[in-house]
Amino acid sequence: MREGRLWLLHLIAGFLMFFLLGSHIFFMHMAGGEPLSVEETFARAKNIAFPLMYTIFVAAALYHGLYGLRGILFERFHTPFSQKVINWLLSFLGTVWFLYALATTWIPFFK
Amino acid sequence: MGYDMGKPVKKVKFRVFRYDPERDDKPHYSEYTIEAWKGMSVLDALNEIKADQDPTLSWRQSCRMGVCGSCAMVINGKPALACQTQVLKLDTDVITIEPLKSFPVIKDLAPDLQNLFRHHTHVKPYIIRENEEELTEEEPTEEFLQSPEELEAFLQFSYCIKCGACVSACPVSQSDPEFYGPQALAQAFRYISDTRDEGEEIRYAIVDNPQGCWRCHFAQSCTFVCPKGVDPAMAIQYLKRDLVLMSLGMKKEKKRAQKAPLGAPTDKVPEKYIPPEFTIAKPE
Ligand code: HEM
Ligand code: SF4
Ligand code: SF4
Ligand code: FES
Repeated sequence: MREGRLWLLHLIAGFLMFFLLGSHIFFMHMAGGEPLSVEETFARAKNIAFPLMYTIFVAAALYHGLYGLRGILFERFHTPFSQKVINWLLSFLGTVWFLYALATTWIPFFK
Repeated sequence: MGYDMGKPVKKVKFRVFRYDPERDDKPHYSEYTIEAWKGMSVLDALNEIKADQDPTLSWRQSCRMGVCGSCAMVINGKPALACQTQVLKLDTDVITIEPLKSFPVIKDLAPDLQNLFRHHTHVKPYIIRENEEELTEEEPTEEFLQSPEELEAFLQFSYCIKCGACVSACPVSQSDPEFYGPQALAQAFRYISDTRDEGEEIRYAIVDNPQGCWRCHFAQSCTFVCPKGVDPAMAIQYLKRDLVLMSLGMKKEKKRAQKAPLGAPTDKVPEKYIPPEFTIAKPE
């Protein structure tokens, strides 16, 4: 049951990333025009859509990537104990990473 | 030697993997050149090499007609049945033969398939009935009815001859011997989709395991090499679909086979259970 839900989330996260990665590439690297000044960059981060999109993006990318890594590690480590340790380590890593990402996207918004 | 079934067409060199774990430090390749004739299978070639050139060469064979599953080996990089692979159709002058990957080697081309059968038996590859007496009764009183569509649902998976080619081709099985593998997972699905079987909950619980269907990346190499046209990759995706639906509480209940008294007259059998080519003689 649990494995099925985790796998479904991995697919949903991959699906979301397909669009979010696309918009990220478009806005950050392909939108053209003059390069933004520091003030303009901060002003852009004040638009709620900006941190919101990146929060979803980073959550999806972290979940998708770490679940994929879990699958690779599970091919090598089979005992329930080692798989439990992997689950805890990756959950911890994901949470810390996600909190760091939250801070970097939302602090400029509230500043 | 009785090999004049066809005229020699061309010389073919065989590079054959050799390894005897009891004597050799590491594997090596032996080379043999033979005259290939039209209709010669790789298995024929191996037999000719063993008879005329090197009696120490080992492999496993039995039926020599693609039925027993004994002679699967890696032929020019692809797992296949030696008895079903035509030498001339490989269209090359050098043929490399190696044992199936993912399994330890007993000697030369004979792999130790214990792991295949361990996973196979783990998924309970037989009909499970809630009332066990139904299967053990010496004088059965009823028979199961299955429509052609119900048969279609599992038929292709029942063609599996346990040759191990799919497991040899599977990238996950190669790196993880504990992965149940395409053969066993396809057999789990074969019995789950059989309307006579009532063991689906037991089997779903077995395959819903970190080393079960979730490790499959859907690379489809298994399906690509299966000599019997089984599609294990599809079976595994169906298992995943069923388990996801179950975890969301959206899985429909499985249809059960109807039963009829033994030897019931065909006019008592509902029409949809009669295969199309049969017609029912209606009493006047
Ligand atoms: C357009 C965005 C993406 C899509 C649509 C996508 C889709 C997928 C799919 C369908 C799988 C196979 C799942 C399976 O084996 O059952 C997968 C595996 C994986 N993905 Fe992604 N992915 C994307 C981006 C990424 C990114 C950016 C990363 C890195 C953070 C990533 C890391 C992984 C990893 C590590 C695996 C597991 C590979 C393995 O098991 O061999 N993916 N992805
Ligand atoms: S599924 Fe096909 S390749 Fe795999 S063991 Fe069965 S017959 Fe062989
Ligand atoms: S589809 Fe799954 S089982 Fe088949 S070869 Fe690929 S990973 Fe292995
Ligand atoms: S010898 Fe039986 S399948 Fe090839």
